[in-house]
Amino acid sequence: MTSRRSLLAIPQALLPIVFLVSMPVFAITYPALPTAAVDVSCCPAVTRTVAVHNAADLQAALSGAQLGDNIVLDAGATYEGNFIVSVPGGSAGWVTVSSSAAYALPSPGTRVGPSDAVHMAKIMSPSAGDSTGDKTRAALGSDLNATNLAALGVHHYRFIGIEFATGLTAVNYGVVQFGPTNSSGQSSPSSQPHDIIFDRCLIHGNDPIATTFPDGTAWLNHGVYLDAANSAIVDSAVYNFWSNSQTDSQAIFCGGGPGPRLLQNTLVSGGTEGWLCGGAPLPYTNQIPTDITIVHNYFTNPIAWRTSTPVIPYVKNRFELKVGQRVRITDNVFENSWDRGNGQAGYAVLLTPRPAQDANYVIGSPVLMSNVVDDIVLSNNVVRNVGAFLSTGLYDSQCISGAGSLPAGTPCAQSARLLVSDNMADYDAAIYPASGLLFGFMQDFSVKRNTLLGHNSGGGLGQPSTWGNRDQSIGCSATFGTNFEFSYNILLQGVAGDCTFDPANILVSSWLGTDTVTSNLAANVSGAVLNDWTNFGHSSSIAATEASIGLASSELTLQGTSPYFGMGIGANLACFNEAAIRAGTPSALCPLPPEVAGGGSSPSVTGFKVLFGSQSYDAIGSSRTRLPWQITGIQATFSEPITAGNAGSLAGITATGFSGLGTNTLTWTFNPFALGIFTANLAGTGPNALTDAAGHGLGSGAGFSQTLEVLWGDFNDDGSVNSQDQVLVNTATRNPYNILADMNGDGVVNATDVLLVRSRIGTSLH
Amino acid sequence: MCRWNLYAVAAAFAMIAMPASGAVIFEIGSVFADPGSTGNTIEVDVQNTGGSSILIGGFDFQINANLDIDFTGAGFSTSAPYLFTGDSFDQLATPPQPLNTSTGSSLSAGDISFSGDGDTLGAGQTMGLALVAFDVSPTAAPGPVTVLFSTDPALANLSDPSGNSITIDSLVGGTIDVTGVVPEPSTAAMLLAALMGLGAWGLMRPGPAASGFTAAEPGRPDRPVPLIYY
Repeated sequence: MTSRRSLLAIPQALLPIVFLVSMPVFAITYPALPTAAVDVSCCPAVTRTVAVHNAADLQAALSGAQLGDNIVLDAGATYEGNFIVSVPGGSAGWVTVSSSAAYALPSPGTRVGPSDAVHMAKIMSPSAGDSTGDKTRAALGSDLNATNLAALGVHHYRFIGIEFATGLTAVNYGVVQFGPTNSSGQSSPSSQPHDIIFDRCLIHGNDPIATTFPDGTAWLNHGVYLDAANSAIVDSAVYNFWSNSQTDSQAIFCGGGPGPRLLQNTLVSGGTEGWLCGGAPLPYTNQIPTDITIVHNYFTNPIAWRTSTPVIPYVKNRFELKVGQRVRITDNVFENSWDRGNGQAGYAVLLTPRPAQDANYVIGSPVLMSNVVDDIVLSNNVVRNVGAFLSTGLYDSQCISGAGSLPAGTPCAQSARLLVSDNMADYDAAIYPASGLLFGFMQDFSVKRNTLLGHNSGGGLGQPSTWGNRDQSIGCSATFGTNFEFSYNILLQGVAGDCTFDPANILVSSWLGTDTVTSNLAANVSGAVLNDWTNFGHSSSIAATEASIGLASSELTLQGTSPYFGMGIGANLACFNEAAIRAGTPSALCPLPPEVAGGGSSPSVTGFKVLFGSQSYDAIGSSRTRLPWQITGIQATFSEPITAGNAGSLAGITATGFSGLGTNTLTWTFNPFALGIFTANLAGTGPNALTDAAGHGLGSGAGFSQTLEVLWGDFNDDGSVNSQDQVLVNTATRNPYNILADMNGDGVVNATDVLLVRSRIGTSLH
Repeated sequence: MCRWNLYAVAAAFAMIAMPASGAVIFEIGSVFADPGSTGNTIEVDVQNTGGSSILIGGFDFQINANLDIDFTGAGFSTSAPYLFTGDSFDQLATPPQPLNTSTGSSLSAGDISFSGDGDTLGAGQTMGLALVAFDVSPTAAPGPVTVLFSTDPALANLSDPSGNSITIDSLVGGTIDVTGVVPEPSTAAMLLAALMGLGAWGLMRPGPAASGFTAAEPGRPDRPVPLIYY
């Protein structure tokens, strides 16, 4: 039993821990979403099929590729070499490189795994090195040694059902590599690769534990180097990439260059980083990676790596950006990250700009002020079994401290606009005793509606779920920056701060600069004293368990019985199918948070009442077929306020009145309707669309429909009004109020209702 | 077609659709009326031919004639005891309600047990449901006008005090015989043949005769005409 689940449960009455610190008026700027997306719809048109049965034929086909080619490799065959992809001829279309058994692969939208390798052809870098003895080159990619820049603009290749592997070499710099040459000069888009898609492919290294390497102990296996605009990896698995030295290894690496880029429904396992952008000189001058979409992926590492010997795959971060702009990271699972051999806490996500990175490589070169981590939406993710959830930084610490080649105080680019919302992160001191959500400096930094759970699966105290981390070079007097928002989060296992855990933690307003900190739920499962809780006027020994605050067992939502349910506190990931994402069979994405443009869920109908007399009746929750009243209106309740709509938003009957705009409840009235069937349609699109403040149409544009059968007087719902109904309503006059017998909707059932039924005898819906 | 032809057809129909024993029957009487007459009445009854009493909570019916007949209302003064005597919702309501809910060539009527306890229709008993008033158009052609029940379950209904339906086994129509015409000899001969056939069938048929029948009055055709609808 973990400490967070067992210790010192207290009555909920002792959990008055929703707090309000300060609410200054300021305007935070939320991040922009990617402005471009990769179209990965399958599959390109084929005008010529080129079957290749050996490595030489494959290289020849790649060298002579024409747009519209489908280069078909034999399923089950291995093509060993360092294959160079060329700029295809032709003017339109794509080159497809596919397995002859691609038809047997899962359909697009379902991730492939090792068991699908039987339907794939394998492209593998040589185990014994190429003719030049270079064992480090990729199995496939653009020609890193090319001198003709025009030949580097490789484009429009889609790989379907290919297994990319590395030979048994001690060092491999990449299994797949589309990027810059080893020298600069590729600043022109025509010399940069673009439009590269890996669709249902396996891209992997060798198992560090199970593999015997003929060249001795392997120490570096890089995965994919992909610096290509309009590039994507979808429904694939990228795994077994690791290193066992201080050199980092990534499953997927991007150095720079324009987007858009997409990583979708892919298993990503890379030792030190699953995904990394930056950390090296920008490959294309001043072109940082932009418009990156990371959705529905499963970032993980084999748990065996945590304790394996003598091979020690280094592990630290599952996803890292040292550069990037307009990045959407949503609907992913991050797990299994720890510190092994590199001194970092095992973060799920690390967002720390390195604008000075170039200077590390080229002494004296200017700091790239554009080299920032900006406009990041980190939302709707689930994090488990890691040392920490997130670390952020506004500045490159090397800029500030003068590390590396930089003099202290060198002005560096500032990162801005980070939204961390609606995530569930459960981190474990037994994995690494760090902190969950670790803040550095920030600007326009919003942390909202997260469930942050620090615990210790090994027993003992859990780690703080949130930890302020001011830059030590400035000291404990520093504030975090400008425009900080920290609201509606659940922080189980409390909050702490740096400066030797001084009483000031991040929730002390003096730390925060321009801030809003409000309505968070913070508790400590251990009962240990939380730092400086008295500053908030709260007890310093508040203790709680997940159960006592009403967390569902999945930890993704609050239960309906929670005292905080519906207050917008904590992540509400009812839309998140964690098992499906792990299995590679995800469905729809969760709605984007409302803070970003186009974000927020579209309104939905939560109640639909018919109006009669002074009464109303919920038609959605009713088991009746027919409504026994003369209805005069419809009242719909929505999941959020509706700000646009009109009388014409209701179709199926002519409305004569409309009210409630700007609220969650809209009412349409119409001439009394006593007999007949109609379908009430509420518009989600078009000029009469019902939309919320963000412009989302009702039901994601689909609107809402409810068919209503109306037969005034039909108490027993048999489709006709006769003496049975009259007898029953007459009986109802002597019983407790029954709305179904209240034929005139005046709130009482009496002889008037009996007479109304009597007057309706003989009517039917036959 | 003259009225004798109608009687023949009705009689033939009756031969194939006689009410079964132990049944609940709604039946309409048959009467004579002159063209242009007003304030005529025709009775609607319910009959229990079974061996057990029935507890009735409410009824409704609709009768239909042609446009020569104008049903003007319905009252409780039936020749057979009114079903809900002393327990009539229509009579005890405030204000009291007429038994009918519509007038014209069709008339709807109904009542329920005011107390909700229901009223008993004894075994073999006939009770009144309504005494329907009507006028006859001055231009009405002489001859029988058939008065039939609507067969819509919403318009011919019997309910127990719990609101459950009681099956009506037969809906027996009646006639309003608009007077003023003497049958032609050929037609009379056809009627005679039909009656002879009916008599022969009756002799051969086992079991009780149609209990809804009353004896033919001298000088008048057999009545009522049993018509059965389902």
